[in-house]
Parts: sequence; C-alpha cells; structure tokens
Amino acid sequence: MFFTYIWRELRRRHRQALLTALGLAVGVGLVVAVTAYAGGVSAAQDEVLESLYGVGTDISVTETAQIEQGGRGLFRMQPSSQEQQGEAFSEDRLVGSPGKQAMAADTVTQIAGLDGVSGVAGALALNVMRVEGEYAQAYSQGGQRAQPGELPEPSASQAPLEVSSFSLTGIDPSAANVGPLASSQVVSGRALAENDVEAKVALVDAAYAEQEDIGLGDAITVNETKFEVVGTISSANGASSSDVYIPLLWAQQLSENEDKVNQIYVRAASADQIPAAKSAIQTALPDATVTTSDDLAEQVSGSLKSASDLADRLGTWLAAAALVAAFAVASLLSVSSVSRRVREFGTLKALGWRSRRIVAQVLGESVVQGIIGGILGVGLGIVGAQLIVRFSPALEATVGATGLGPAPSGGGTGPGRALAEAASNTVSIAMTAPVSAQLALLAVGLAIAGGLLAGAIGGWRASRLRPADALRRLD
Amino acid sequence: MLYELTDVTKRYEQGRKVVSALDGVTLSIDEGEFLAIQGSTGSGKSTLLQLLGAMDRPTGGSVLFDGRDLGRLREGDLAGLRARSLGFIFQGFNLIPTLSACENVETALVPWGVKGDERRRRALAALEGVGLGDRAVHLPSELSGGEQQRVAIARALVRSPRVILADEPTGNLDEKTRDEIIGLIHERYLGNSQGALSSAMQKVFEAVDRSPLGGVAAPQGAGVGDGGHGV
Repeated sequence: MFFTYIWRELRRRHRQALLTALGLAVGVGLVVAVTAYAGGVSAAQDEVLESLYGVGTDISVTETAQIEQGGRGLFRMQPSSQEQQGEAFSEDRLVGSPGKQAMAADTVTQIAGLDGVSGVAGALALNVMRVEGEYAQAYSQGGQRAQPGELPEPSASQAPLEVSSFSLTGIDPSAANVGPLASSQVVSGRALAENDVEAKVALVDAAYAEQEDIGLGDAITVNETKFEVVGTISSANGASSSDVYIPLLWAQQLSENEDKVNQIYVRAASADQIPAAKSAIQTALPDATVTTSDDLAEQVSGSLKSASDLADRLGTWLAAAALVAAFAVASLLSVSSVSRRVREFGTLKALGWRSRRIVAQVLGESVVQGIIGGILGVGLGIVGAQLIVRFSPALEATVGATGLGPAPSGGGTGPGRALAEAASNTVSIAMTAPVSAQLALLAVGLAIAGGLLAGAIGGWRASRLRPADALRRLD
Repeated sequence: MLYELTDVTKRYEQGRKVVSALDGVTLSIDEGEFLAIQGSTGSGKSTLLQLLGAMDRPTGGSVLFDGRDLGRLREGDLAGLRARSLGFIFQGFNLIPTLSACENVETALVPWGVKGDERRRRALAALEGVGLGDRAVHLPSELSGGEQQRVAIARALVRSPRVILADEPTGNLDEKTRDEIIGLIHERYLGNSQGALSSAMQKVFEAVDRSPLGGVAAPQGAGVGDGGHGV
C-alpha cells in the first residue's frame, strides 16, 4: 500500500513531481559541476605546487641571510708563475643561494625530533660561478715581458674570459623521499642511492643536460673535483629547482660549508599536523623562515588563481544558493501538495491512520522525487563539468616574485629559484573537472536530503491536521 | 452505555466571532441502538457526528465512549479508537482519487496492520458484498456516484466496526440510488437479511428528502435499532 500509494500519487501529479525533481536536479547539478570544477582547480594547484615544492614535502625551512654576508666572489686571473702566462684556466667559486643563511646541519636532527614531523632532509643550495679563459700575457710597463718574480699587471691584451654559472644542490641521498627531488622523475640513468653519500656522482636536470650536451657517464667538474653523471631528472612541469645535484657531503666540502645546510625540507606526519609542525619549528628556530605549501599556494597567481578564487567564492555561493532555492521550491511544492490533499489526509485520519503514517507517506513521495532529482542532477552536473572542461581556456599559474624568502634575482636553488623560474616560465595546465563516485553519491544524498526536508515540512503540516478540521473544510 | 454525552458544547472561533455549533447536548446511546439526527443546515449535526467519531474534542462537557472520555484521550489513542471501533460514511464519499476501489477499501485495514494478500482478499469480499466485485480495479473517477458511495460503505464495513457514523450518506445521490444505498446499509449492517426497512427506519430515511440527515447505528449484539433521537 505504501509504495502503491506513492507511485499513484506521483503519477497523478507527475508535472509537479517532475518540476520538484528538476528543481532539485538543477541545485544538485550546480553543486556537482562547481565541486568538480573546484576539484579540477585544486588538482591543477597541486600539480603546480608539487612541481615547485616536491611531493612529500610539507614544510620548507630556510634562514634569511644577513645583508653583509655572502660577499663578492674574487677570481685570480693572474698566473701564479710566469710559466702559466697564456695558459687556459677554469676557476669555480661556490656561493650559497642569495638570501639564504647557512644553518648548522644538526638543525635537521633537531627538527626531526619535533612533534608532527615524520621526515626531514637538509640540502645545500649553491650557485657555482665559473670563470674560464687564459691567464693574462703580462708585460712590463716598457712593453717587455715581466721578469720572473714580478706580478704581471692587467693589460689590454688579456684574452676574453668566459663567465658562466649554474646551480648546484647538495642533497642527502639517504632521504630521497623528502626534499627537492621528491617530485622529480628519473629521465635516464638512476637516482642517488643511500650508498652514494660519499660517492662522486651527480644528477643533472634533463633540460640543463640537453642545453650543455651532458650525457650519462660524463664528468662534471666542480672546483677541480670530478663527478660522474649517473642520471638525468625532470620535475613534473619540467622546471627542476637546480641544474646539478651532488651528495650533500661534497657540496659542503667544496663550498667550505662543512656541517652546514641552507635549506631544510620537512614532511609532516599527516596533513592536519602541518600547522602544528610549522608552529613547533618556528618555536625551535625563531630566526628561520618556515613555509608550508599553503603559504606557497598564496604566491600562485594567474588564471589558475582566478579560477581557484572563482570556485572558492562565487562557485560555492552559487551552488549553495541554488541548493537552498531548490530545497525551498521543493518544500513549497510539498506544502502546496499537502494543502490540496487536506480532504484525503482527513479521510485517512478518520479511518484511523496515525499522523506518523501520513507523514511517512508524504516523506516517501518527497524522497522518491529527491532520488529522481539526484540522478538527474548528477547527469546535469557531469554535463556541466564537461562543458567547463570543453570551453574553459588552459589555466596558467604564475608564482609571484615575492616567493619564499627574499626574491632571487638570478640563480639560487630550491623553491625560491623555482618560484623565480616559474615567474618567467608560467606553467600552463589543462583544466579537468572530475566527477567521482563519491561526489555522485553526495549529490544524490543532497537531493534526498532536500526531498526529506520538503517532505518533513509537508508531512509536519499534514500531521497537524485534525480530521474534523480537514473534513470541515469541505463544508 | 456505549455513548454518554453530558452538557456538550462546541464553539468555533472565526476571526473575532465565536460560533456555537453545539450548546448543552446531553445524550446517551446504547449498544444496538440506531440514531438518526435531523436538523436544518448549520444546526450542528456534522459537529455532533465528529465528536461521536472521535475526530474532534468538545469545548465543554464530556463525550464518553465505553466509559472513556474522548476529550481527554491523546491523538494517537483517538486514532486507535477510530481504527478499532468506528466506521465512517461521508456525504462526499471521500475516496482517495489515485487508488482503485479495492485499494480504497484496503486503506481501512492499513491501521490494523493487515498485510498484502489478506488485506486484498478482505477488501474484495467487502466489495462483493456491496455488489462491486467486478469494479475492484476501477478508480473512483471511473465509477458513478452511487458506486462510489458503495465503495465508501464497503470501506466502512470491512472492519465490522461497533459503530457506523453516516453523515448525510445519500445527500449527493438521486432518489433511486438513495434507496439502493439505504437498503444496502440496512441489509449489510443493520442485519435485516430481507433487505426491507422497519417502518421507523423507513420514516427516518425518508426525511432525507426534506432535510439533511445524519445517522448513528450501533447494532452490535442488539439487532436492528428501531428509533431515533432528533436533535
């Protein structure tokens, strides 16, 4: 009787039932489309942040360098002996990434012991300034070659010098799952392994390797120390945070930064512990700049940022407003239906039907409309999401120049450099709007909730009818 | 005594106006009695039937049914009482328009918790009893006025209630159909298997032609009631 009655009633007023279901469908469809859109935007943001930051890295710790530190690199182009005059030379100078203060390596251990931290890796981000050329052919004031023992003076005959630079990061091979390479993929060769801690091996960014024509097995010389290239790597968006990676130990030795790091990558025990871990690190290291992926996300600008804002603000409000409107319409139609059936419900009450049975009947009718509305709404939402994907332009993400710490003006490593690179190489991302089974279920659930709400209001009204009042209205 | 009404008043508020529908009604109805209530429009016949039918509460006085004060029972208890003991026949038939004749009769068995096939079997038997066995699947809109009232009678009788409350049951019917319906109530409920009315009842029902009529019949154990109390 319960289902027969529902079916017959809905069939009798099929236009109104369809209108109610369509109202719910539009509201739910908007929720599905906006949620799918927001999910797509969020996925795009994650893609950008992962490439900038590293999968598995939740927090980055740096210390801002004092203004007077760093200094200018001095190169000696004078031959140390007369025999060297005119001979080729190559001299490297390793400096820390601009703006980054070296920190004691045991800071890594200190952070590892903090609550909410599950993984830590220290890195030393350096910039290698290289000057190559030939020693000057020094002559005396009188135009004669300088005599042995005399320092040659710079002269107009100095051969042209070639100045180049590349970024070099010393990484901890034993902590590969957190750090600058966590999000990178090996293009050729292999990654650094735990037993590479003291090995003279290097990884090269695939783009840099192509540009400099560096292949597997080639040697990269840094301060007269040769490192064998064992792999080339690439990050998700093609922008690695450094050109060359070597074991941390060697980076420390070559840059005379023994037991020092200038970039610490931290992974939190879980996503919801990131704020607590950040707070603990800030307390332990008051001078450090502690940056989370959320902080980094705030630096993202461009159409991706606009899309994100649109999804967060307008989209959410639009969906909520549509949902509320749909619920209100469904409720009004339910009340209207009950009002038209006063005689019916009064008769049933006169026959001994209890109020709760009548409420259940009205609720049942509304829930069926909710289910139909939910299914239609999921369909509408999927179509809407596909239309968004089809007609929305490719999103672009640009990371602001005021990235992590001081803005690097050239070179540098780590997120700061990646930010700077991203600023010049805006990342383009194809928009997606995935509709998951969970989202579909949520949508149907929302529509049923809307139906229940409408039915509850209508049922409440029906339950308040006293049979005599209901029947008297006929008189 | 089945019903005992003592100094019953019923007033309705219509805006600022207070309308007195019943004023100081004192009445007793015994098991097995047949009571016809006659009066002009607005004299309170329907109101009295609704109080007797546990569908409303008096403003003053008391309505006792089987010794229980209907004015003090909770809504759920009143619904239970209506389901167990009372049957209603309305002037306007009051059938559910979306349900078939058989399903309409079944609605009376729903509060009893009678399930599926048994409920259908009993409803069909009740329809057979009013001569509508072949119209069981028809919707009310597919039936004539007389047929609709027969369905309503079957719905009232299917539970074999202690009391039948009929509020102008033939008010919307033509003369021929009216006689059929009166005969049917008489035959099926008041227990005269010959289908003939007693002279007193005949007199009462004939009054239908002249003015609206409400009726209470409580025949259980007592056979045919033969009189009426005018109000």
